[in-house]
Amino acid sequence: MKMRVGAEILKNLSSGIYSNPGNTIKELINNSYDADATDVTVRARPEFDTISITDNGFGMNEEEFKNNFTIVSRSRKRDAGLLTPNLHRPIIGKIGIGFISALQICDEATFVSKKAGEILKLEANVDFGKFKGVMAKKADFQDISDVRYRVVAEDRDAHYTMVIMTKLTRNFKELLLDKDLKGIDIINFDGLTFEQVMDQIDRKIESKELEDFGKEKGLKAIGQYWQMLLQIANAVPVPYLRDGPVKKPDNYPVIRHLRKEIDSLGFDVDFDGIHLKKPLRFPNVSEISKKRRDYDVYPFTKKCKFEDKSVLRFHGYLFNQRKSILPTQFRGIVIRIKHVAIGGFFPDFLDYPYSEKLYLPWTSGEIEVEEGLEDAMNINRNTFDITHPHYRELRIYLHALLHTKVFVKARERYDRRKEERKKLEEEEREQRMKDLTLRRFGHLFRVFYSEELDPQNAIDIQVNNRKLIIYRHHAIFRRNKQRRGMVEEILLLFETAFRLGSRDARKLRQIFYEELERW
Amino acid sequence: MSAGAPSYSVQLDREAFNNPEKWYVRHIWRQIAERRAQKIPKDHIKLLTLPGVECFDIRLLNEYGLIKTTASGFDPDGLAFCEEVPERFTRISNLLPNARRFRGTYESLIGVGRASYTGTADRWFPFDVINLDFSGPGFKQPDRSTSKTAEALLKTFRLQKAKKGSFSFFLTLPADPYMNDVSGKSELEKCLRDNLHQNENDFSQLFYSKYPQIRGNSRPAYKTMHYSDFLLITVPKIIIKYGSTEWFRVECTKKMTYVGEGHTTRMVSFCFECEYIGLLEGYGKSPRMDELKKGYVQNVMKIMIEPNLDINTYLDSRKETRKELSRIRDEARELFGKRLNESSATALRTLQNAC
Repeated sequence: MKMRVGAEILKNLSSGIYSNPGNTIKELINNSYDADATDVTVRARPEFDTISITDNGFGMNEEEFKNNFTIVSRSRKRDAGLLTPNLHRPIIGKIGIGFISALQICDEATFVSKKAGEILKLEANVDFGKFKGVMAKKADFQDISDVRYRVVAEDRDAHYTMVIMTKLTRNFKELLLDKDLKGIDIINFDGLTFEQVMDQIDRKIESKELEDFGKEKGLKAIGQYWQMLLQIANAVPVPYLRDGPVKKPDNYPVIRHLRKEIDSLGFDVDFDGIHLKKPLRFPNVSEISKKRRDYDVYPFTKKCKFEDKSVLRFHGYLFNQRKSILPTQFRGIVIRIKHVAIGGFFPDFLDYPYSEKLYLPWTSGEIEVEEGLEDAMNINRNTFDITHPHYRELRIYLHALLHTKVFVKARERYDRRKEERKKLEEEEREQRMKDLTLRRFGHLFRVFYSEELDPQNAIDIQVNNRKLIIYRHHAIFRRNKQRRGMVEEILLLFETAFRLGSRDARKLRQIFYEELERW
Repeated sequence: MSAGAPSYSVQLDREAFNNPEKWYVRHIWRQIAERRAQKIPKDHIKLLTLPGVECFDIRLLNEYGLIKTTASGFDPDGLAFCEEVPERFTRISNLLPNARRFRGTYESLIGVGRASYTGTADRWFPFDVINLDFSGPGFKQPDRSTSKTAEALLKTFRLQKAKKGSFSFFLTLPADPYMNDVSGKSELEKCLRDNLHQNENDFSQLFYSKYPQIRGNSRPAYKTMHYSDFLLITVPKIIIKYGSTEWFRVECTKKMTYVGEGHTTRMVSFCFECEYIGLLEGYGKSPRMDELKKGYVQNVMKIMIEPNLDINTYLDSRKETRKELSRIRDEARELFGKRLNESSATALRTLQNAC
């Protein structure tokens, strides 16, 4: 007896492999990277009727096209080695399904490619729509699409590849046009550069405009199109922003190295006129960045050897600040293999096991894997096989770093802030009490906290001595530990009213209400 | 690829639209667009065009600050184009980030053959400048049973009328040698006959007395007449009539013909000023019928009086201008493949007063 695979599996692999349509575009950009392209141009706006991706990579000729397109999932990218031929970049593609992932977002694609030094270019039309129709009717098939191609004379020196996706699926188009976000204000970023958009997002966070949306809707206020752009920018090997990923990046050798590595790739993605950059810039609000003690950066490098002689090498950094990171999508850890993010940010830090979840939203970071882990990557390139030893080792290291360093400091910062806040509140309360005595008794009273145990009164106003004594250990304060400050103030109001009321209940009531209202 | 799809070469396409004669025409377009910009309340024009692969017409207008740009490209409400060939469409898109774009012919954009307009056309129109620089010969072609060009032109006016938009209109058609056969001319002739209907008896007499060779298939001159001459005679009349039907006072300001350096096909290019004089302030006021009538007669007479401009002859008589245009052509080569909003093309501006 033989075990066979149903034809449906191919449909599932090709049409549902990526969790969102942005991943399809990301994969096509990665194909350009593997083709040694330095410039990639993507056009989608404003109509979203067609999405085109053009690169200046080494292109493909008729023979290569036949080899690559006749059997899907047989990538030949690594046949000649693990590095690209011209720029010697580590090759990203492995599985060979990047191109057909396009059928997730369109019914038809035109493919034009030209290799330098050859006199013919290739033009092919891939009709996914026909394929989709076949799949709906019967499960067994050999043809995945109707591919027609021809070769045409072209400039010998030209080298490029174009993927032009037409007949975009209605769902994809409607998603990008924010049809699902009725009633939510979408911030208009039209005509701005990537840097200007990031500045505007940060300003919105600072003025709490984005935070309000952030609490419930994440980044929806910036719309699906920009969400997709930020996702792609974070995922593909484009440079960091000038002041990213952390403030003063050159102060940290590991981060300086990260920046240098990515800059040396010289890979530019122009998406609708916007040159993508890695959208990470921590801390991104001046409230935090002004005080150095409000955030910490933890660079690291690590190398592990395994029994099977395989090696896992990675470096990166963790960033922690005193309050939640916004936009919410940038919380968590991003793992990059060969400069390409696997999925997005993992907000749970690969399932962080300790009861310190309070600190997770305050933390972010990047891990660049230099060697290993690739086999642990699942076919969707978004998740990992959690049983793989490389993944497990990475996870253990990350959790240990968080538990023993990052969150220890975070806890200290949290406690310190709590103490400071408490002290500040007490000072403010004391000032309010003084103001009250000045207003009602015409003199400024001094406030004393007495350590006397269980006195008769909780608060004693000594008018002659101009003293205000608060008995900290009075039962009423013990019973209301959490609201001690509030109880203190209310009692003081009452005692003041009582003294000034001269046993006149009506006057007492009047003064008490007046002060309560003012308070 | 579909069997009928034309093959496309970027190399050939780039050079096809880069010659002194074409640059001369572009500068005339630029001057007219500048005048249009002065008539409108906005700072920039709204342009619909069928650009070449290097978008030279847009590049030039952009250099003169006539098109609105942003830090990341163009304002989608200021620039739109359509193109059928996938590679050319993509190359143009790459040069014009955020411009409105339609992958298909102009005829399909505006819904020729349909009872109504397409949703896209309805959203896009009106424009301040429409530049239909056709690469196909227009009107009847040997491999087509019917022409869509005439309907496309009429629908253009209807769309502009629906939004009450005056506009400058540039129309360029190649008079391919194979169009010298009778079919294209007979269609145009029919078009013209329909155009000159019963209310224009006096006028049609005058028209046919000036152009006797285009009346009736039996005339030998009609058959031997070059298609470009035929276009020069008939197209302005047809356009003026189409415009008048839709409440536009149409004036043909330029009738030009040229053969681009290194080419064999004669090109015919027209410029029209189309002013909407229909209902402006609601239903209460009647359209300016008298103004329309007067303008119509004047403007049709004008096309019969004013000579055509043969750019080749003109430039032969002005060596300096030709030299300058040749230099522009050479410098334009440096711009091949460069994005418009990221590269300056100030060299293109040097021909300021020669047109």
